[in-house]
Amino acid sequence: MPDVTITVDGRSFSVPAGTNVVDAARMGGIAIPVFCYHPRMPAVGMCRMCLVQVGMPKLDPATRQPLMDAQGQPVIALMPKLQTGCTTPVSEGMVINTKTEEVQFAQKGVLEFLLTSHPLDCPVCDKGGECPLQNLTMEWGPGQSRFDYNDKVHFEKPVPLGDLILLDRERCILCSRCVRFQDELADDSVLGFDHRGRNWMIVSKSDPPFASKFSGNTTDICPVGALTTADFRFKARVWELSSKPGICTLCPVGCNLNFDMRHDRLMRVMPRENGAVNDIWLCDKGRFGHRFIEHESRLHAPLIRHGDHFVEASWEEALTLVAEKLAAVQSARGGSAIAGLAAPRLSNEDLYLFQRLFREQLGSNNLDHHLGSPDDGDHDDLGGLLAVGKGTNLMELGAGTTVLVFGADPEEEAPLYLLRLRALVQRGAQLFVANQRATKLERSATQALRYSVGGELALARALVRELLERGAAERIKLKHSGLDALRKQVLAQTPEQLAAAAGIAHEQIVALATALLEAEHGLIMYGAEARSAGLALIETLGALAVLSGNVGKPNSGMIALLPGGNSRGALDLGVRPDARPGYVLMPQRGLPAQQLWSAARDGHVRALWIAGLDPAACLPDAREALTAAEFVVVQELFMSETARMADVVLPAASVAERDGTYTNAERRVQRSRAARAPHGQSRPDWQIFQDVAQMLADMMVLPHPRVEAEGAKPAKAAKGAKTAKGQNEQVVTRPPEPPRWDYLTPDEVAAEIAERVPSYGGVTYEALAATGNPGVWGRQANEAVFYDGTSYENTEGIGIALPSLISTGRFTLSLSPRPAPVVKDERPLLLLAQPLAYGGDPLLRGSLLERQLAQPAIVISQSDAEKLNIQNGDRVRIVSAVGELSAAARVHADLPPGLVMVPAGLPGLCLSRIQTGPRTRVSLVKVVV
Amino acid sequence: MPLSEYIIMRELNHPDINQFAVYRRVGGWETYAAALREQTPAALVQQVKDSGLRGRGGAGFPTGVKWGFLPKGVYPRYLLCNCDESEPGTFNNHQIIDRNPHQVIEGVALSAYAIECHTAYIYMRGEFASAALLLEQAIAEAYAAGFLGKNILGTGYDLDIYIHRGAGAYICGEETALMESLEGKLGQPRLKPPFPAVEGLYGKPTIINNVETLANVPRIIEKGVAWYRSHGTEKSPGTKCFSISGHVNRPGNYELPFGVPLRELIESPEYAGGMRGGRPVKIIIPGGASAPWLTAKHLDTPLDYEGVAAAGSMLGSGAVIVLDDSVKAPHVAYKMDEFFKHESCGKCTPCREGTHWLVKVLHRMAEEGHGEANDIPTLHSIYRQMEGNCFCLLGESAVMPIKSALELFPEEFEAIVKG
Amino acid sequence: MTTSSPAGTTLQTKTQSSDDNRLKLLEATMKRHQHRPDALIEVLHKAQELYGYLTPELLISVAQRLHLPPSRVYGVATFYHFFSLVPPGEHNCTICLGTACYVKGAAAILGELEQQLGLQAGQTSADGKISLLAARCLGACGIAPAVVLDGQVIGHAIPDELQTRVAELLK
Repeated sequence: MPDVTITVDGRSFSVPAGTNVVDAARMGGIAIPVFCYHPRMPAVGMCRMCLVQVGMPKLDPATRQPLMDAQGQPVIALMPKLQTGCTTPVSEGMVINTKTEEVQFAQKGVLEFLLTSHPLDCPVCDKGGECPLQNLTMEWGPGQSRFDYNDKVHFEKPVPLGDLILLDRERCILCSRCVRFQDELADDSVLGFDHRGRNWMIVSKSDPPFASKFSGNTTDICPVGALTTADFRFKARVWELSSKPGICTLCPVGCNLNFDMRHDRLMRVMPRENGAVNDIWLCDKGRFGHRFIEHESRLHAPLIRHGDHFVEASWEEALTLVAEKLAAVQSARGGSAIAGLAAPRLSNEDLYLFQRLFREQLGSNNLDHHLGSPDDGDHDDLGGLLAVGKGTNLMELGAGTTVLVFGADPEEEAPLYLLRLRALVQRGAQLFVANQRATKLERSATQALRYSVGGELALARALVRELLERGAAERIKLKHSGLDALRKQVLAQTPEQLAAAAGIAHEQIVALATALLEAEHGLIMYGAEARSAGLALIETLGALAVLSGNVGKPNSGMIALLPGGNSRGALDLGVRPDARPGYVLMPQRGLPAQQLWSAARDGHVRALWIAGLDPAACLPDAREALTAAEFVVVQELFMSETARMADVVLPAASVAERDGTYTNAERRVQRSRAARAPHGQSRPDWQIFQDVAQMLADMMVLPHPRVEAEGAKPAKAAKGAKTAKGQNEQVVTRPPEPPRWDYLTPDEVAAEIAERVPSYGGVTYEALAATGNPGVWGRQANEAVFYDGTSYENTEGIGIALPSLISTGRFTLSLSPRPAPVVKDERPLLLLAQPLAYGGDPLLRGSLLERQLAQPAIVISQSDAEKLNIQNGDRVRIVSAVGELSAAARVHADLPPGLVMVPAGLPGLCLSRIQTGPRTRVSLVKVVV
Repeated sequence: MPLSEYIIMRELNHPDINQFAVYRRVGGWETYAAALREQTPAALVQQVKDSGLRGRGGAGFPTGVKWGFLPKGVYPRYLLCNCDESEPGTFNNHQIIDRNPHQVIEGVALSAYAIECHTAYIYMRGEFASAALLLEQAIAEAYAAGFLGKNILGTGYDLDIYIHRGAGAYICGEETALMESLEGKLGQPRLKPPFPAVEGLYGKPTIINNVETLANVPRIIEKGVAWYRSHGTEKSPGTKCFSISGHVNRPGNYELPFGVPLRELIESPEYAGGMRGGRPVKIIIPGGASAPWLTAKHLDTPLDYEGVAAAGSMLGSGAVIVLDDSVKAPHVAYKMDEFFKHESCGKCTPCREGTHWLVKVLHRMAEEGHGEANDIPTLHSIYRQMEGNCFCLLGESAVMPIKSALELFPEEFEAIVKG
Repeated sequence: MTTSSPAGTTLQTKTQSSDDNRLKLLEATMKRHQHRPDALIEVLHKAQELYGYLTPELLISVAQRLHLPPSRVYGVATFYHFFSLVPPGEHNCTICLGTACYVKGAAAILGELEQQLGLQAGQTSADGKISLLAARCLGACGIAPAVVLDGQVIGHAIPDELQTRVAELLK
């Protein structure tokens, strides 16, 4: 938009045409008070707080040129009434007065009106201290109250709008920010207004009430203390809090948050603004799901097994025992007899040192960051290789952008993406949602492509075929191979055959292909459902991204939604059996998690180190293996099922108790800071790894070349051993580094990562602290327009986006996807382990979200239910080739026939018992009681 | 002098005109039929423009000019007939529909044709159940006679008219709130711009006119612009159905040419027949509850848009409420503002909180007879804080009763304060 | 909402027996409007006509059938005063309190009826016999004061006569 010059309170400056008067004045450093207006939502002009005087240059009716007065100044025609600044767009020559007597009278009047209904209970109000009503009253309001206090309206309060949010009707100024946020931004229309006039009130009549994963945000944008969270209500006064910047590790978005602490206690979690990640929002999981940090059941000291019970031990004792045992196994049976698993929520520093400990100190490549359950997919490399380019910022995207979300349910897998993708659509982007079932995001799609159950690969191939037909292959600029194989594969079927197999109209395929081709920026996001279809699908999607030219540049590329907050970090940093940090393939590969359990059961693996994962909770194979193993170390926050089976249990510090960096789905590395001292004697994971490594180094245990060679044996048998797609051009063989195990702080580890791991170059703590240009997100710090709290401000760094690996030029892209997996099982239904935000994550313990955890259920389609005469609530059983499972049926009107959904990860519903692999086919039986 | 030929209240010339056959016999629907065959929409718009017809809903905006605001070439368009008549003192729409319903439907149909729209809605106040039935019947008769539906009279023109019932919310008379209500939502006003003519119902260009306005259209086209302009004044041509109520002997609806003095409407035996018991006039509210008050000294004000405006009020919907000296100004202001408070939709602060506060103070003064020292300045500042600052006209209307009462009868408020 | 929507939502209210024809009539109205969300007010009119008032079950099922959030349906049902969420009395008496009626003594009429029935405006007697209501202008200013007794408009209402008629109704 072209700039126009306006004059606000006598000061002239330029702003983009079409900006509203409130925002325009802000750009010139002039504050116009608002309540209902919020820059993230369309203006509604309801509260009338932003009334200002507006004038336009008078035009000569004949020439349409501004009339000039005797002094040569344009004659200004003032509008007869004051105008609401939020709804008035600026235009050339506009004159705005915000401080005239008339304006001040109106502003004071609106504030006085609002206060007539307000209970003036600031001393007991949670919002007190960060309340726009308080602050605006101080600056613009009347000094005294004329309204008879006895005439105040009283309402019953508080009204719970749901489990999490409470409404104080007396404080509510009816600005509708919360209702509009839910309707327009979150797409959960669960709030509304009952009655009218002074009796107008916010209600939630949905069942369950206020069912939204974003409800906490309404309390942030509420300009008064009307909405408060059950989590923070009456807990603390905000001025006693100190905000400690952290990163949420509960999903791959990597939202910036603040742990608001009073001394050493966590009072609340607030969003911390980052335009490139979470803007000013936080999902409820991130906001309310961090109570585990202070949970009473946290492990506080190292434990050593004595027979059938644990005895508390000193760190010295415990670590020595671990080092000795591992050294013993290593020297007796070699590194391949030792295996390690680390959770994909651990920090980059933890993960990097973990793999160093294993590779350099123990000589083992048996490393992974999965549970090793049957449905663990292959390692996702394309999300790194073809990741969105450096400089990507979804908030700057709109028209000209095409987003394809394929086989993902962002609301559950990475909730904040729902808000970000919806905002993209509102700014004019095209969103295509491809899935076999309805997801919430689909409602916001420009076009939904509902492929038939099992039809995803056909759809992806149809898209690739369409692009090849249009000559897209000739325009690829990247180093690539395998084009002929790709061609052969997709041309084997006609477009009609592919469309039919996908269950999608050919025109829709053409429309999507066209949108991807023509897009200035193209993003392909895929999630758990896509990954469960196997590498053939993901690689075809990769080919789609490459052929449409949407890779290797900013704002284009692939975004993989992987489990946990740092799966990408684990993959980047080599916590995997087949590659070192930086996707450097190993000549000899270790055991992936999936093969670990049988190897341990059979005695090939003797010692296990499990950090932050709980395979014993639902993997019978893992329990057997843990029983069989000679020595098991578990490093954990809680006494998990796995920890119960350990020989040594080491208490780890939580994310809020240590510094660390995390790599999100878009490969942005962000730093989280310690908000409090570690619980009890717990220690940061990296430190524990280092302590043991140091002891091992002192014992001079060094990897035995013979052992490493042996490690290759089981790897050969592994299916899909060719996991790392990017073939490194020359095998980088570094001279052996002298083992260094004397890091004092994690930033020293980060510095080493920056030095040694390709694409992490420059990612030091110092560089991570940069916050960019203040006001880069359209806001000056601490401005009431957004929120009056102090927590929002991002003073601690907005992170560093890594370049996509393909753009480093070190990788050649293979375009030939693997053949589709052959399905031999004839059972009629496909089992989908549904990823849920409120699934079985043990980190939700102690939070208010525990009440909202998914209940065990077998979700079936309407037509499958009718076929078997199954009603909601009937007990049903699903039977696979390897086992069976029963639970109550839930009939879902919007599920396609042929699909059965079971919530993933619920402790009470162990899916791995019946899974045969990433995809399991089952039959369904009604249990007759 | 009563009119010899009525434009709207034609039941006075043809008593059974509410029957379809009678309406047809006196030439009903012929104008429409002829227009469809012989006249272009643009020609009709021009005639309405030339006639000087002004909106009867309150604002008095020239109807033809309003129609001209429709963006060229943007379809579909909608025509909305506003029959949400809910303001105290206003009751002519209801009677027009009761007694001359076919002319309303013909007016809607003819106007729809003129603005090139194929779907028209009549928004009926929810309480007017019987009137809605009458209109539904009249619409059915028009369909049966071939004046509505597809390919009307073989001309290729299609038109459907639907009745939509309101449900008890005065605010829905505000044109954008009416559109929200038609869309099944809370009846709350929308931001303007965009104006309805550009972006109205379902985001499409929309014209919204009052029942009485549209009922004028067939007569203008039938009898011609010159005949129409021979009634009323230069700037307010035609006639107006005045609803007169209050302390007069014969309250009711009377159709008069614009420009007749207020005194004649009140005193003429043909019309309201003078004040009840011969008591003196104290307050005249000439244009519905939202109009500023006049007093006995304004009795010679001509009843046209300009005349009433010059006297300091507005003609509005032509609802004249006349009160005698038995009433107290604070009571009248209280009752009226209670109405506005009750009908305030809650969307904007000054209206929601201002009416609430006003009524609190006025109730104490008028009903409990208890005044406090600061009441009068407080009342002044409340309405000043509302005036010009509300989202829509409802809040602005609520200013009028209290402002008028305080300006015209300050002593009555002072008396309460003194006790 | 994606996983919690029950299968094949059908219009059901707890209180109605299965042979109740009213559900069919209401469904027919919604069908005539193609279950379009913008038909909400018309559908609520029909529902109230059939049931006398709007029960929570009715509102929830209308929300489901018209694909509207329940909060929206409640909002509309309570915004518009024509709709009632409580059962009406067997008889009802509405006193107009519009300006024209007020200046002609409507308040006194209401006051006397309130006393006679022991009810406040807006309430229904405990035995469900009669509801006493106040309206803000019925558009009958020409015959003020106006009262509507069981749907019949009484113009120029006289307190004594009205009280007698009300008493007769309650016999």
